[in-house]
Parts: sequence; C-alpha cells; structure tokens
Amino acid sequence: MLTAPAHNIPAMSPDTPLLNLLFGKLRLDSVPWHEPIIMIAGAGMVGAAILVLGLTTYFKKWTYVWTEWLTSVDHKKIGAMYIILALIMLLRGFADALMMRSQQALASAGGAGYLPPEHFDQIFSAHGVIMIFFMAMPFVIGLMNIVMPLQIGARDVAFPYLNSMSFWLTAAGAILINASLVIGEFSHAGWLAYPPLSELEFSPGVGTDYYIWALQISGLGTLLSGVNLITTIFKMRAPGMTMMRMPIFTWTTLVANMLIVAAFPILTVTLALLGADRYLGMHFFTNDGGGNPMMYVNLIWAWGHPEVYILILPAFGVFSEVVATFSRKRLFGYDGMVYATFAIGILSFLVWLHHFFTMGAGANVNAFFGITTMIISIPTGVKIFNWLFTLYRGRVRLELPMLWTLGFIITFVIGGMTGVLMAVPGADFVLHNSVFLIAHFHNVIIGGVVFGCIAGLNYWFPKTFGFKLHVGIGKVSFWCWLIGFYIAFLPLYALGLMGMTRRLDFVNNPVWHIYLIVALCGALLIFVGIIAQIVQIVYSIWKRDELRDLTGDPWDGRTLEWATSSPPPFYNFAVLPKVGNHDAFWDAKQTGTAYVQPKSYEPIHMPHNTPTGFLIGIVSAGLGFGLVWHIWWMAGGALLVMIGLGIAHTFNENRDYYVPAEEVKAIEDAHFANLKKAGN
Amino acid sequence: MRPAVPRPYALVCNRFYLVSDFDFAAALKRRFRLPEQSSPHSNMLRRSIKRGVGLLALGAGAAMLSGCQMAILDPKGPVGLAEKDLIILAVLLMLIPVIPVIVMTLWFAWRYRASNTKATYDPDFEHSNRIEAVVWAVPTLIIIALGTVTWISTHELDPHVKVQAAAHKPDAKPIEVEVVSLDWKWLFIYPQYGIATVNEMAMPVGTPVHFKLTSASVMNSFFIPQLGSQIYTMTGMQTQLSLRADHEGVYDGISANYSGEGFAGMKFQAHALSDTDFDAWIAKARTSGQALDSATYLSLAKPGMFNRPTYFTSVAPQLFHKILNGCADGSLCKDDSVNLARMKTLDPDAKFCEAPEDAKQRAGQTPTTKQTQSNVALNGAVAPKI
Repeated sequence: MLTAPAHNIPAMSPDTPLLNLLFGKLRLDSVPWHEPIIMIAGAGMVGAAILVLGLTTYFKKWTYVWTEWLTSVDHKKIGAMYIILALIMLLRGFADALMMRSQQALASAGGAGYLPPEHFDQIFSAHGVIMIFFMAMPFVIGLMNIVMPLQIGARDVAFPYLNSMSFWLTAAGAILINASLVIGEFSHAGWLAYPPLSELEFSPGVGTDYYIWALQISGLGTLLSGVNLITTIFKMRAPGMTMMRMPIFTWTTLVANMLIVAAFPILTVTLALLGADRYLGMHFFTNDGGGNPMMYVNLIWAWGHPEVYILILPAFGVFSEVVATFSRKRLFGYDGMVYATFAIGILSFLVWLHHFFTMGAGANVNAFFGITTMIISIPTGVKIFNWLFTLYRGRVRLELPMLWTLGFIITFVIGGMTGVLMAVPGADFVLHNSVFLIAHFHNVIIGGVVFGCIAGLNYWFPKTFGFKLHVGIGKVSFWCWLIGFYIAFLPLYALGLMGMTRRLDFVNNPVWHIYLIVALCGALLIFVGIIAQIVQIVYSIWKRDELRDLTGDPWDGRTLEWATSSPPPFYNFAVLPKVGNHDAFWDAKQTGTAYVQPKSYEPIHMPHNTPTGFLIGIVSAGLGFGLVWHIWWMAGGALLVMIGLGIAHTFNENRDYYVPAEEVKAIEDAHFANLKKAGN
Repeated sequence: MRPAVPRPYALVCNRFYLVSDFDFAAALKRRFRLPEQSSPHSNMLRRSIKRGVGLLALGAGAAMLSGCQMAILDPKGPVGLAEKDLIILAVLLMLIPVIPVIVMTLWFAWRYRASNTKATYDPDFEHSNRIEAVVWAVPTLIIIALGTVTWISTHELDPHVKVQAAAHKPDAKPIEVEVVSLDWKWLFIYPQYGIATVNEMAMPVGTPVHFKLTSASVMNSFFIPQLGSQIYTMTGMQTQLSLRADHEGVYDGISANYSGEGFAGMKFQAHALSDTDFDAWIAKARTSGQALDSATYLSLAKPGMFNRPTYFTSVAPQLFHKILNGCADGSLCKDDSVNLARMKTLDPDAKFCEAPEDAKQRAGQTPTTKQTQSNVALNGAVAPKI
C-alpha cells in the first residue's frame, strides 16, 4: 500500500507572530517555484501584462485608456470590456482543457502522463470555474450590455456607475483566479466545490478560499448587473415600445437577468455558509458537528441550474435576431418565443435535483424532477421550430452569424437529446458523472452558449467598432470549431457508454486510449478555431478601413440598434425613436421614415465618467486576496477603502451634464454625410 | 505513484453490439408489462417496426455504437439490462423530432438560400395557427410518452427496490453486503459470513445482492457499470442498492464521484461466481488470517492509494454501524447521542442505566407512554454496542 502525499500545503517556513500579522499564511514558498509548468504559465501571464502596460506607456495612451475605458460608464464600452475579459479567460480556460485532454491521452494505456493528481485536480476545477464564471458569463453580459440599451432605444443603462462597478468586480474575481495559479494553489474540489471535500478537513490549502472569494466578488458584480439591466428594460424603453414590441434578444436579456437576481443570492449564501465552515469553525456542511454536505449540493444546484439558463437564454436571443435578419423575414411565432422564454425561466428553478438522482432519493422525487426537466424541452423545441419556420420562405444569406446559427441548431438538438436522456433517472443511474455527461453539457454549452456568443460577436462587432470582421478567417474559425467539437466530444459519448467516469487523472485502460487520442485531436482543432478567431479580430482591426461600415446597418437589420451609426455616438440616439413594432427599424426602412435627419436637436442628458467603479473593483481584489491568505489588515483595510469610496461617490454632485444641441448636430451631420457617401 | 503495469484488459473488441439486435417490442413489453401477443398480424407489424427502428437507429448511431465493447450497453444483470433498454427506448423516442429538425435545418437553409430566387419569398410570414399548434404539440406528445416511461421506470429501478433472485434459483437467499468508501479504497463487509474485503467483492450468479452503503470520508459513488445503477456513498448517511449478476465474470467497479487525489485509482473488481466458487471465495477470505479489528480498520481508513485486494477473516462487531455513526474510533455514536438527547427532552429526571421497573417505581405509578418511550430510548442508548 502506498500512502498519499500530504495535500499541497505550502510548508510554513518562518512562522513568527510578526510575519503572521503582516503576511497571514503567505510565505515566499507559497509560490510553487519548482513546478515548471506553473512557472512558465505564470511568466507568460506576467509577460503579457507587462507587454500591454509597456505598449500603453510607449504609445502614451494612458490618458486615453483612463478616460475612455477604465473610468467609462458608457454601456457599449463596458460591454466591450466584458467581452475582452471573456476572450482572455477563454484562452486561459482552454489551455486547461488542452492540458486535461493531453494528460488523459498520455496517461491511458499504462503511461503516467505529465501532471501529478493534485495539479490535474486543480486544472479541471479551474477549467470549469473559468469557463462558466469568467468566460461565458462575461461574454453574455457583455453582449447584453452593448446591445440591449440600443435595442430599446435608450441612451445608457439605468445605473451607469453601477454598471462600471459590476464589471470591475467581475474583473477582480478574474484577477484572483489568475493569481491563484502562481501564488498558492487553486481549489482541487471541482468546479462546484462539493463538501466535505472542500472543507478544511480535506482541503486545508488556500485553493478553496480563492474559489470562494473569486466567486463571491464576481457574483456580487453579476447580481448588481442583473438589477441594472432589469431596471433599464422596465423603465427606459423608447416611446411606443410596449413589452410585446421588444426585440427577442431584449426579452431573453430580461428573463436571464431575472434569473440572475433570483438565483445569485443562493450562490452567495451557499458560499458564505461554506466560508463560515472554513473561517469560523462552523458545521453547516462538515462531516461532524451535525453538518450535512448534501444540503450544499442541493443549494448549489438550486443556483446552478438556473445559471445554465442564464447563459443559454441570451444565446437564444442572439439566434432569434440573427435568423430573422439573415432570412430577411419577420421572426416566426414572436409571441410563442416570448412565452417559451418565460416558461424556460420558471421551469429552470424546478429541476435542480436532476444533478444528483443518484443520491438515493425516493422514486417519486426522482421521477418528479426527471419529468420537470423533460418539460423544459417543450418550450426549447418550440424555439427551434420557430427558427426553422423563420428560415422557411426567407432569403437566407449564409453570412458568418448565420453559419454559427445553423451549426448551433444541429449541434444543440443532439445535446438536447442526450440531456433529456439523462433526465430519465433510470438512464442517469448509469450515465451520471460519466464522460457521457461531460460530452452532453459541452454539447449544449459549446453548441449553444459559445456558438451564440461568437454569432453575436460577428453580428454586433461592426455596430460596436464601426467595421466588420473578416469573413474568410471567420469561416476557418467556424469550421474548426464545429468539426473540432464533434471530434472532441463524440469519443467522450462513446467512452461514457463504456463506463469511463469524469475527472480521472489517469486511465488504466488500453481500449480507451485511441478514443482519448481522437478527443485530444478534436480539442486541438478547436484550438485552431480559437486562434483563427483572434487572428480574425486582429486582421480586421488592421484592415479596418476596407471593412468599414458607413451606414450603421451592415446586415440590413431589423431592430433599433441598426438605426444608429457604427459605432453609435456615446448618446446612442440623438432623438429617441418611436416604436410601433418589434421590427422597428425594418418598418422604418419600409415606410421611408428611416434616415431622415431632424431639423433641430435638443440637448442630451448624459452621465459623467467616474473612476469609483474601477477603484472599488480593483480594491475588492485586495479584499479577496487578504481573506484568502488571512492577511486581516489587508482585508479590513480594503473593505474600509471600498466603503469609503462608495460613500465619497455620493458626495459627487457633478455626475451628469447636458450635451449641447450644437455638439449633437455636428456628430449627426457627420453621420448623415457618411450615409450619403454610402449611397443611402 | 502510478502502477507500473496496467491490469490485464481484454485488448480486442471481443463483441460487436448492434442496435438492430435490440428487440424493441420486447423492451416495450418489459417496460409496460404487456401480455404476449401472437397473432400473425401483430407479429408482422412488430417485425416491420423492429426492422424500421433498427435501421433508423443504425443510421443515426452506427458510428457511436458499433465500436468496441460498451459496458453500459453490455449489461450482465437485470438492473443494467432494464437501464440499457430504457436508454435505447428514450433515444429512439427523441429521434422522432430530432432527425426531422436536422433535416429541415439543412433543407430550409439550402432551399431558401438568397441566390435561389425561384423559392417563395414571404417576408411577412410570421404566424400560422396550424404550424404553431404542431410545434407545441409534437414536443408535448413526445414528452408525455417519455414522461410516462420515466414515471414507470423510475419506480421500477428505484435503488430501494429489492431485486429478485434469478428464475432458475428462486430460493436463493440474498447476499447482504455493507460497503464503505474510504480514501481511496472500497471496504466490503459480508455480515452473513463475518468476513470483509478491500477492493474486491464477489457474488454468486443469479443471487440478489443487497448493498448498504456509507462513506467514512468524502462522498463517492459506488458503481459497477456492467451491473447497472450507481449510488452515492455519504458520511453519516446510509444508501442502499440491490443488484444481481446473471453471468459469471469479473466486472470493473469504480467510484463515479470525484473524491480527491487518489480518486482515479479507487477501483475494485466484482467477481460474479458460481455458487461453489463463491463458497471457495468466502473460504479463502476466512483463511486469510487477518482480522479487521478496530485498530486495523483505523489504519485502513487513513488516506492511501492503489490498495491490493485484501481479505479479512473476521470483522469487529457492528463495524458498519459504527462507521455510519462516526464512532469507529471509539467516540460516542451519533445515534446514541441522539437517543441521549431525546431521553433528556422526554424525561428530564431519567437516570442512566435505569431499569424500566425502577423507573416505574420512581414515578410511583404505571409508566405513561412518554416514560416508556424515554426508557426505551435510554436502554437503547446504553445497550452494549462497543
């Protein structure tokens, strides 16, 4: 019998009261200097940061970065920053995915691979956390931020300063996750940190603490963002835009944010209880003292299942917009889409137990949750049929967003089918926790959320930045993603049926070896797709003059965002549009009321930029870091500074101003000159 | 840390599994307990349904299913068999809408491509009661069908339901096995035989095995893929499962829930043996010469990986009960502490080690129901269990 190595606790070298006071648990040897993989990755991250900072300094762009981006409260710029964060974290999360796939490919059929278990365990935990919280969430929130106010004819979100703070809190969470790579360790308890494994008894290191505080801080940002966007939709719609005239993307944004507001407090409380166990010696989820770990499992999924609909609903919204625009046709079954969206939103709270049918609940309970889960597939199926009947009798243009949408429909119905299969408790008893499950949720999250995000990126990029993305490179990316996805995950479906469970750091079965190699090849092909995506963006920036969109309406769009210039002026709409239909801009183009310049302009009421959101966010990273390492002066100080900054902001009387009518006229004149140049 | 030599596995695909083998009608009958029908008409119908369904499934799933041995689709017991049928039935039901959707996606995108000006273009076609009724009805009907299957199968496959003995040995007495997941190994206790094993278990073919499961550490999931259903093992909680193996063989057993560093190596072998071989296996364990007393258990419970199969001649009394109640290390058992607390609530004057007759005397009257309860609790609490 071999004994296990001790958990990865940093050896407490000098341990004096003064050092403890100053640095808590943090010591020089908390950094894993001897781990070449971590050190290289860390050096890469630090190097990239230095490069960005250095280039900013070299080109003397600090004032521009500070005034136009870091302190901006403009919803379009905040949305863009969310998406930049998502793309950076996609690279980090995908590096983790490649390491897992290569480890399993190498460590099957007798090999040992190159990752020791305690490192592999951190990688799959980090992969899940990063992809869900710091890739998918920022991506959809970024799209909602950019697009929704434009679609409802608003000039910004309801609370612009809060919006900035939400983003920087999310960024602070991302900073903490990345810090954990080099300073200390990350959680090795999986992406949902099930206790008792995540309790002090089994995870004495700082990894779980990084997990808790990164999610608490970014979760607060997400919750505030949800409040903000709901308020915006309820209070700031253009005249004439009743609820049933809102574009479908706005509807899905509304429901997704309602889910955020209803579900994220559950996550906050659950993690707070786990934190109380770890920091205050309580026993909510411990093995002893009357704790019940299964309570955590219930609570975390009561948040976790709505979470997947928070991600997929906005993606459904993107596809609805894309299908209608690129079929040059009204969306089929608008009312049905709205009801289906709401039905999905409500049902998403009634299915959480399907994540643990194997806990031993009675047959009635399991059957109930199995059937509620299946019922979700009814409104989802309606949505898919509605997209199909939007294509029907349309004029389908296979532009990039449409390609992603078609890829989505085909991939998603397969993922939906395997999902409903696992909603049957009897089937789940043999498929639960297998790589079949892994294949299923990547099938819906890649095929649904990621495809939706990239479709949205290609669709709204010209609106946000004023030029289109390159089509050829975009197609390379699409085909690599699509084919790569199937090559990577079909073998996992097969392996799941062979009885391979998830999260194995080595696989002692030669028969599975070839499947794992194929899966690795698929992951590499997806990686080529991601690289192509980045090349596409960089190349398009370089060739932006050739790809310029002068009209503001590059796709012959239907909703209000296409009525503005590309990029829209910071106030979005010089004159608030009147809305009579959910295809407001399409109707305006049909009736000839689009592109008519008003004779005069009114001054526009706009918010000032403020650094408070940025500062609170960055300081909150210090709060999290202090809490992780038990550096109490740092945590307490950071909290005081955050509260102080918030209070100080309330004394700032100079937070809004009027854009003079002449300035508006000058900007609008330039836009109409561009329109004339483009021949409209 | 890794085992240098992999366990001997079947290196070749020794069996091809084809969906066309699947007897759809028989599965339906098993599921809904339909009577056998033998009219030639229905036979023909059944055959053509079977052929159609088989072809359909082959087309859709050939790439996935015609490969190597798939443990889940090659079950060796009634639970696994029912679950395999259920998986195939559910997939076939869902393919009814899924295949048309995929075909329609490609067909519509091609038919109504912008360059095809011959196709009808109807930019305001956004509503049709007939189509909308169909798109709501089709998924609803499928889900009603699947929901019915789910309700019935979930009750049949409920892990609390005891599996019956095989038809050829109806009187076989079920084997009781107590399973404890440790970091990172499996402990099996056979209370009927007084033996225990680590990372290896055995069962006679055709005899039901009733498992009681718990964990001495973090959560795991007990799973023998070829026999069917898995179930969580959780500290302080007892789950149960009932399985049966109908074919002799050695089946892989795993933990299907990540439990930390040694998780990937947390495997065991389940031997399905003939009755004589099973008796021999028990005898082998009995003669191993090693006893699983408290001290041995405590050292076994320490984190460790890649344990070889180990046999124990005897087991400390009530070991599973003590692990379940967190008192294998000699501390106060949880059920006892609950009983003590309950006793104090019901009868604050109760004394330890008091016989019911004495309590009766102390109360000076016939004991009320309440007192009886407390005394029962009291006696339960001080009953010699250690």
